Amino acid sequence: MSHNNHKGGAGIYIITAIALGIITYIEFGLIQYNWMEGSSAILTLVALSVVKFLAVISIFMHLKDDNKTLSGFFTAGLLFAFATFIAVSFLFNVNSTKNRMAAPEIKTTSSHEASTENSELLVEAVGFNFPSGPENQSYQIEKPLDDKKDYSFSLDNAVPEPVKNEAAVGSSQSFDWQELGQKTYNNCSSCHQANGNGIPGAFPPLNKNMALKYNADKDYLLKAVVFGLTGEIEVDGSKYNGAMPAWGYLSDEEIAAVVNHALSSWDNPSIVEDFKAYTPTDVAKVRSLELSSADTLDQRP
Amino acid sequence: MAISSQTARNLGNKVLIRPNSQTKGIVSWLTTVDHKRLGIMYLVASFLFLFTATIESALIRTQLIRPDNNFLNPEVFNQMFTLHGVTMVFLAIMPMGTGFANFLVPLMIGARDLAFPRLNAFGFWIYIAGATLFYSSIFLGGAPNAGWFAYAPLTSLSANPGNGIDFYMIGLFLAGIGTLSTAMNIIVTIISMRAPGMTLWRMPMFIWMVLITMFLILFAFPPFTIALVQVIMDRTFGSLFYVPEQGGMPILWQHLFWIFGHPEVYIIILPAFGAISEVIPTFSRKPLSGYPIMVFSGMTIGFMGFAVWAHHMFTTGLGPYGEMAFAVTSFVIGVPTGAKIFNWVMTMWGGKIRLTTSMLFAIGFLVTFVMGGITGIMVAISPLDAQINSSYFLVAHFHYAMGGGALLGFMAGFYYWFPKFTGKMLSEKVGRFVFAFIAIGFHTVFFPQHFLGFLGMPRRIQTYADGYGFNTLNFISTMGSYIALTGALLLAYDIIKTMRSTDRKAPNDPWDARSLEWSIPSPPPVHDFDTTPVVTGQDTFWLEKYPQFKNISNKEEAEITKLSKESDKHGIHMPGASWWPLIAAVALFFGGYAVIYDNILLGLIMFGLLLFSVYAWAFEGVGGYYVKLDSDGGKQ
Amino acid sequence: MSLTSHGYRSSNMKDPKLMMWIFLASDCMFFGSLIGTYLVYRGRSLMGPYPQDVFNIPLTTISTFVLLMSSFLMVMALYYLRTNKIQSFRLATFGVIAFGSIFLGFQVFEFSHFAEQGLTLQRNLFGSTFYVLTGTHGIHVAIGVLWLVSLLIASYIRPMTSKDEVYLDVAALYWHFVDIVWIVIFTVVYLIEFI
Repeated sequence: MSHNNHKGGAGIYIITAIALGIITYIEFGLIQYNWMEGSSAILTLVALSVVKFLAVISIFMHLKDDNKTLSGFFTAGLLFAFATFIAVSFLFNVNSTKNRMAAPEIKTTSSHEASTENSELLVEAVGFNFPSGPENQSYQIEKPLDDKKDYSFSLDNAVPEPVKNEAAVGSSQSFDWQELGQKTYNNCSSCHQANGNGIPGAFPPLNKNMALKYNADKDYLLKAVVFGLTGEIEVDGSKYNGAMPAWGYLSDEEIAAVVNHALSSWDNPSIVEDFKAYTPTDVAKVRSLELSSADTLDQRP
Repeated sequence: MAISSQTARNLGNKVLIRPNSQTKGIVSWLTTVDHKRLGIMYLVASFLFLFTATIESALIRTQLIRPDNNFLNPEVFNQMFTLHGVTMVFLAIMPMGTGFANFLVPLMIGARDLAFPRLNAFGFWIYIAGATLFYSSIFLGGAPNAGWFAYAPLTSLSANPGNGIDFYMIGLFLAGIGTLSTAMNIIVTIISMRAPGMTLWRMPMFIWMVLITMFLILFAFPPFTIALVQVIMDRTFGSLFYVPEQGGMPILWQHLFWIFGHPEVYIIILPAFGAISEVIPTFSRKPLSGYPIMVFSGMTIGFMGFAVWAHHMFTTGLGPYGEMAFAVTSFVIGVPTGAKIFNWVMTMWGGKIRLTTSMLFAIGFLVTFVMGGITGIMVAISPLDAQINSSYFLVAHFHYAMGGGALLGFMAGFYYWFPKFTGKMLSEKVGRFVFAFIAIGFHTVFFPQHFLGFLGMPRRIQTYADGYGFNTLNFISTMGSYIALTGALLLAYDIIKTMRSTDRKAPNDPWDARSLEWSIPSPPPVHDFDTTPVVTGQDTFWLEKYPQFKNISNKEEAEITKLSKESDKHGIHMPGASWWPLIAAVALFFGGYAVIYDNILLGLIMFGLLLFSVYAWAFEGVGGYYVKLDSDGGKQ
Repeated sequence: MSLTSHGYRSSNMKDPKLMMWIFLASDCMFFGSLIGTYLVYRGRSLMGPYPQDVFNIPLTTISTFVLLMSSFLMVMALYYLRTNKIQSFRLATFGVIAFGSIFLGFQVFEFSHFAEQGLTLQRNLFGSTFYVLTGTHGIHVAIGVLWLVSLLIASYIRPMTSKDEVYLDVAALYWHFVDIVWIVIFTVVYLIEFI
């Protein structure tokens, strides 16, 4: 019964085993004795692993001597796994704040006229007659087409001008947080909204409230962002009982920038007292406290 | 309780000794490894779950018949649509495909069983184990309520403290083991056990589609299994995979789930495509048009199925490049699917059409699935999807594709192959009514839902307020579900009546069909083929009946015949029945409960039982017996 | 295609071997998902211990070497069985079992050492992803060891000859796969942290 066509003795196995041992030692030396650094080290490591991988597969597992179908199956499995997880990593990394467009402006209106106006537009567009729904509906999307605006697709155009607020620039001129803060705020706007007003009952407002908390305890805001916040809180008479996720995996620069940005936006600048912009060092100090999101609740001013 | 030694011996003979060809009764069903019996068991179970899920959908629609209804309270409603989704996808439609594959794959390729018969049995029993565990949740604190795709962190212990989600995770984990093992079994069978002369290019299209499906299962189920394990670890051992407070990212669940979930819908539909590819040529009296294109398009669909998953995640902030990439791949996957539709239509063109019930379902499939495909291309446009994602438009889309596609496709296959499975003919008269009720009912349910989606009705809401314009359409949709339910009940009635009748015997080949399963009696004898088939081309049975269409050299035919005769010299060996697949599945079943209820002792005992049954399985060997044929060809 | 003792077969690969390769193809996706999860969560732990705090590269290099050598012994065991050198086959198989157990011992030591330093499953993302990934790999190794022990014992009860080589072949394929997964884990999890 022919299984594979391996002729000859065990010599090739012995040679392969010795080679594997040597390659492992080289990998070890690369790391332990720093024979190489940086990206060349990574590339060499990966290349060496690939060599070991292929050696075991083709020689020890006899793939090179066996029916090609088997190689086909295994390669297919490998490629699927590899390609899928490259794609997933790409999606996770490209999705970072640096690559997102700014959220569009969403105007809130509680007037019935606005909703009727929008319904008329929709009727024109779609041909359906939409009723306007319950009376106190808010969050109508602004009229979508404005001749004055430039709608050409460009990531540069998509990021609006950063908010410049003289009073908020503060003393740390070396840390330029405006643009970074604007972009990082995209992480926050899905819950706290672009206008900082949150969603009643679900996500508390940052507008006004954040300035109040800043006045009470400068570290608290950083704790909430780095460690998250879970449990029931009350903001401006409304109760919220949710789970703010921890954003500690953002960099110190990003966290400092985004908190500065929020404190310089909307009505916060007029409420905040004696604003000194956060620096990345401030964030690092808070990070070293190693709190939990329940601890943040306890320390809420 | 003392029992006499004679009773003990009798019991031992019945239970502990390995069953053989003489074993009868329920034991023979519990220990069977015969692919035909297992196929029927899969189909019976899947049809029972199909009826259950249909009832669940009728309940859902009843709740939504009018605004501000409270027929099902919100918690029960959430459980109901979760049950409906999980049952339809995992417990009804996918096992239906497996059931058809189990029965038909060996017969269509000229083999007598799958490559690993006991593993096949195990696959069935673990499916039953997982399904039972999943459904037992209803009586043990409530069914899972997070939808069929169970997004984190709704499935976290803090958001969902009851046991329902654990039943989802573990039930599907168990069922997935069976699916994977059956997939591997069928791949080996198709590669290694084809009859002489059956090259890959002469296989029936159903076999090709099943082969591609099995590869999809092979690569799609592992990520899902890992995701399930991660949630189980989170809920049972406090790991942090999907715990946002500690940096966990629930979006990872979405990625892993849809990396599985999108190939899953192709796993569901490809066997149905295969069934249609058998039904339409038979009832058009024409060979399948474009065989090579059908094969390559099937492969392309299977492959591309892995490249489109994030189109389920267009509203999660993938970023412009991610959305573009997945929108493009989602458009591309429509092309090979369209190629198939054209080929089916071309098969009918110029043929001699017979509108049997099976063919009616096939035509219904063509119309309905194309509609589902078109709305699919619409939602592949990511800005449009941003508007109607999670609305009823999507519900309409996937029901058209899965209900219209897989369900109608499998119904066509069911009416087509029922005579072969059971030896009886279903009533064509009742069949027409079944088709009418199901098809009309189906469209009545789901066509209005396209408009509901555009009107803004979100999915998975327990009720809706008056004044949004949803009322009439929902009412019509609910009426449709009652019509479809009537069709389902009619079908059940016809099946039961037919099985009890004695005057509707089916001949070997009631439809004048084209593939090997029709060359043997209905139902087939336990050994399937008396002699190893000789395969001389595509649609090889047709060539046997009508040799004027043969296109093979005499030399090649002689060689193949010689191989067949040589093979026959080894005799007809049937694999031995066995208890161990069932016992292994039972061990895993109770082990599942041990994990849910944190019962270490039970877990250890069941693990021990599992280990024991695996060893016993390994050491009992294939076993089996040889079949001797009488001089007139029947089994002695 | 071939004529075997079971009759005509449309391929010349033995069923158990084909089955094992197909299983390994799906196991690639299995470990791919686990490694993918580890990489996605890399660097996102909110608090320590971090990889650089706990990893002991010299020790892990030794255990990697041990596993690689066990693979070598495995292929030798198969070679001896094919050439009917039954005693050598048994010895080599015993060697694989021994080396595999040593590797498992290293893993157990590593896990308990990490736990002492505060790295648990519940501590941070690194703990969760690391333990589940290497734990799953360890379970695969343990199953392999159990399988080989069973084969070795069975070979005494009912002596194995070169005719039974497919049964050792599938065990060997499984074992080599477990080894190559470790090659990937060693590079991508351990070594990469120290560049």
